[in-house]
Amino acid sequence: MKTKTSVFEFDEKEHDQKIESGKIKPIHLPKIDSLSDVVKYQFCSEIIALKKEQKLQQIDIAKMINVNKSEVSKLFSYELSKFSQERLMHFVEVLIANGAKIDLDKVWEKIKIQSSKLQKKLKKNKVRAIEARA
Amino acid sequence: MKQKNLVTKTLADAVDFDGKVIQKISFDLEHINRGWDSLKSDYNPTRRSNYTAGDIVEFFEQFGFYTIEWEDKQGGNKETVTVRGKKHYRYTAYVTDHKASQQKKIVIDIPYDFKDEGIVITVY
Repeated sequence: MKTKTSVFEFDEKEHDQKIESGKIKPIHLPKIDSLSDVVKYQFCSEIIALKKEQKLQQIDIAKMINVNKSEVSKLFSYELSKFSQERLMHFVEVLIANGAKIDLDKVWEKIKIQSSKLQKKLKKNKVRAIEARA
Repeated sequence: MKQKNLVTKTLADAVDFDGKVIQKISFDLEHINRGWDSLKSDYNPTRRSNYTAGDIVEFFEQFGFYTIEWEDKQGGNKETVTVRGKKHYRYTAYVTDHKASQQKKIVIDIPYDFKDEGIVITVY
């Protein structure tokens, strides 16, 4: 039975056009497969949270950390592969030096929590790989 | 969509999604694997992927890992759409298909009158 008005009757071509025209900019869920990815993700999240809390624009953050508009856009879309761990940490250091209220103890606490999630994910992936081989 | 193809899965761990706690997701696997021909109002004849319900759950679970700034604005990643006369938030993101090592687009709807269920519209 076809339901013409079903929620699932979605036009992907139309949606892709919205993406190509810039009307929609999908968020990139970064691939987190390592502890380094967890650290990069968390420092990036802190910058995003700071923008939100202080009601700043991306351009304000760009000026503070001395990057261009295109780079800051990648940062806010979690394109982590474009940034090294050291660079993201440096951005946070610069923001703190500029008066941003980022609690590094809490950041590391969150990294600990995310690391536990990563551990679970890696175990799950291992189980799935074994199941796929069986 | 054919009613028989509608799948609802309860998540092992609830996912916090844009401030809403999602405990289950529903989706149409045929739509995801074949896509939709809006002119013929039917699934495309050929399959483009072979995702299982478990794969779709895994894609959705990826959101549990991140703090995401969803933005409902021009050039954002969240829109308001009206489906069957009901308002939904529509979210677009790239998730990782670990099997194929590729990024895939995922479109998720959350109705305004959300209870505990998210709708995975498509993955492509």
